[in-house]
Amino acid sequence: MNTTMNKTNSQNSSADDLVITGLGMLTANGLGTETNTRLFSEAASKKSSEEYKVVGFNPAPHLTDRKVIKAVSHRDVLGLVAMEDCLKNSGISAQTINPDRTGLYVGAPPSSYEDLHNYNDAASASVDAYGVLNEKAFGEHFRSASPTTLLNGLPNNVLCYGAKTLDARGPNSNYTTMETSSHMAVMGASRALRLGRIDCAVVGGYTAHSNKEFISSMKQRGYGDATPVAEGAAFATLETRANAEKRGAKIVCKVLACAAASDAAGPFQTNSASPALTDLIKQTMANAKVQACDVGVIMTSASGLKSADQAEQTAVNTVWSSAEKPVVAATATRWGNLMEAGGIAEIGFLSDCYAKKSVPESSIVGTTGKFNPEKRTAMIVRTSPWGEYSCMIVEMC
Amino acid sequence: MGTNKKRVVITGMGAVSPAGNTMSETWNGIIEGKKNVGPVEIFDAEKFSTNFAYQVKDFKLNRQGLTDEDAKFLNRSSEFAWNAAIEAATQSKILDKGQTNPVRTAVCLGVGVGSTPLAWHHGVYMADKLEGDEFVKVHRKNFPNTLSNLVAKLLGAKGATSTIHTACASSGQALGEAYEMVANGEYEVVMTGGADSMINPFQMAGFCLLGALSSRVSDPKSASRPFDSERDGFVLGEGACMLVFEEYEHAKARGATILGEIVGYGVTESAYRITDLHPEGRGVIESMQMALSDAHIKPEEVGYINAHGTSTLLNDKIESLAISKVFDKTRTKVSSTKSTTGHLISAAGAIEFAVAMLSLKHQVYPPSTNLKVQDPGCDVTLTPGTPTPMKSNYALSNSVGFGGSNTSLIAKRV
Repeated sequence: MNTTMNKTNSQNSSADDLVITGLGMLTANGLGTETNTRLFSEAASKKSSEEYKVVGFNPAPHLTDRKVIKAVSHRDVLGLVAMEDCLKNSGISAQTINPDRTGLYVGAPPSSYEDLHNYNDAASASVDAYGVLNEKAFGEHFRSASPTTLLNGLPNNVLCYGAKTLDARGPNSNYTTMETSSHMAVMGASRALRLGRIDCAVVGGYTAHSNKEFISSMKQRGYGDATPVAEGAAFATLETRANAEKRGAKIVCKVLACAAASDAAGPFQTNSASPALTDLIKQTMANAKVQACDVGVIMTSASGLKSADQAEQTAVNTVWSSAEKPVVAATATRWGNLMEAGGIAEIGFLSDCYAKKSVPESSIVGTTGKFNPEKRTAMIVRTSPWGEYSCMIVEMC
Repeated sequence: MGTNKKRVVITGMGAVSPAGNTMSETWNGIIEGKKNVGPVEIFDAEKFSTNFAYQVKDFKLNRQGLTDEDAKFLNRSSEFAWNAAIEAATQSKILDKGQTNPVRTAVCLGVGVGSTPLAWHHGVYMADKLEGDEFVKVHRKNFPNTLSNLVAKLLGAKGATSTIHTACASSGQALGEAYEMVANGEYEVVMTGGADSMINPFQMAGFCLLGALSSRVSDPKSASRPFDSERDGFVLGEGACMLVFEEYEHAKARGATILGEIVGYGVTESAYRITDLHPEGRGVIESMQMALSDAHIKPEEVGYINAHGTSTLLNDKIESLAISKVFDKTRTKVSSTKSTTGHLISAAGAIEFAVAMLSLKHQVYPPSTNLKVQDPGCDVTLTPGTPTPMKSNYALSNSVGFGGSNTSLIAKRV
């Protein structure tokens, strides 16, 4: 299993606590957590990945360095906008941080074949009658492409340009583990914070799998019919309570524990009986020093993949077999499947639920219990079709 | 890292590289200055401005533990990684029953963007045959997390399966995070490493367009010449290297052979430009200092640095500057084994750490192959062109990636 974030239990607070002090978010619904959480009462669920694409959004006013828009891919722009939204909301900037003690941990999608669009002219001039590339001909034509074609598709562009914007020079990482990516980012950053290497980190993820190659491929694996893949990004500032209090930051929640596990069964072999996910939830609760009865909300992935949804349902039913089950919800019902951005995006949703003391009906999945806003502990579970899982437990402020 | 950190030892290593198809072949190839570099054979690169690379030769996939269905998910570099993982796991004996606790075993790999048969794939893309089964057969090889997922299956590892991509720093970073996972007590065993092959038309074209590759087409064997005054760019390589990191007491209790120890990790961001190092070495300096601090050792205790040393004008000059600011050149020798392996991109950090560790084990400095005249702007003491005896207990390995991530790992002789 994995990382225990806090030495203290949820009843206490300590300078060593790891807390989230700001969130940034961008989806097809717009910029900001408020814009997105409002949808659960106002809008109906969208039907297709096309509708979950971020279109018509002008990123320029939201970026410190607007030139970056031309240097990176569409998905990178989403990540950078959400990251800057997060920086603004948490009150940190290149002028206020200690560069060497600020980290950046990102969950990123892999390169897409759309990143090769700069080669389209050269490739079109080089394909034979069967659509197969003639390599020798391509060798003669590729120089028509932009010199920065390779850089356009790098999966660590958000890490690079985000670090530049914030002047964050501390420890960093970039995870490409699909649905569990942003939780991996939380784990990596938490480790660096615990080791005393940094005072604060920007953590999160971004996603844009709404391309024809991904959807076409995944459709054949029964994926995405219920919750279409979406575009979007979500970032949070994670820091020690001491650092947050020193700079007078408002605390959104305390991160009690975050961990990951695997079925070890291979790709697209999620075990719907979910022993690994069940054990992960139990272990993460033990790390967080909370009981099943302490949890007020469980946020699941609800990806629409049958075996993954069954695994989540079974694990929750097993862990809460002898305790009152809390409300089980998912943001996928309005935000679509945010893949790499999921896991962080839910914190904004939870914050809104606790502020309003209610969980929107439109987010509730399956048969669940009632929401008790007095129980400030919330759990966010991520499940991937690779049989990989992550679980984060937070205490909402 | 805090004083309560656990000791992390290496109990297994495996490699597939242009220098050899196992770890020992790779080490011997590096020591002998073997150069598996020549015209690209994977695709027709005749018309490319750089048409040569270091390539893996005579490779045969080891199908141990691999179902036919799982094999369909492996691309060229993950096939290399599979063999390397089996070699490392076999040496470590962690495939034997009862050697590991599944929930205390994890996987953390650095994986590149390359090695899918992109040329063919793009042809399909252009022909708009995306709904076809043929497309799916290729696309399934392209998920970055599949390799760590399959390695977890091989090991029966039910802990975290993590995949990292920070370009050329990917596997250095993966090793660093694996080390921290064990040192922190989160896991007892972590399989870590990296894999990459960017020798395909689209990515090789990308490097050509950036002007990053050596264009010494008349003499590929001397093209990768880190720190040489006539270096003109790097030469692509391909391969994989996997290592078993294990908590010392766990390794001792099960009687595992300890090959070496990892004692320090540094990781920073240059926060400068995507392809360039900061002119004053910012980021690389701090990474090495962080690793030294983590290892609780002084710079003069490090006898050897396996540099990132890509053979590009900028990297070698600035990395040398950074090394000279942290280390005393009369006490620490430097080489880059990319002169023998080429640049393994996302796998570079893993294989170069393994080489650094083996140099300690054998007490031999890897040679600075291809070095003719040292660039006076690279003010470090390079190892000679032939293997020479070493007397040191510590070696450091640097990795520097596009995007600004820098890592430094310190190995200790046991």
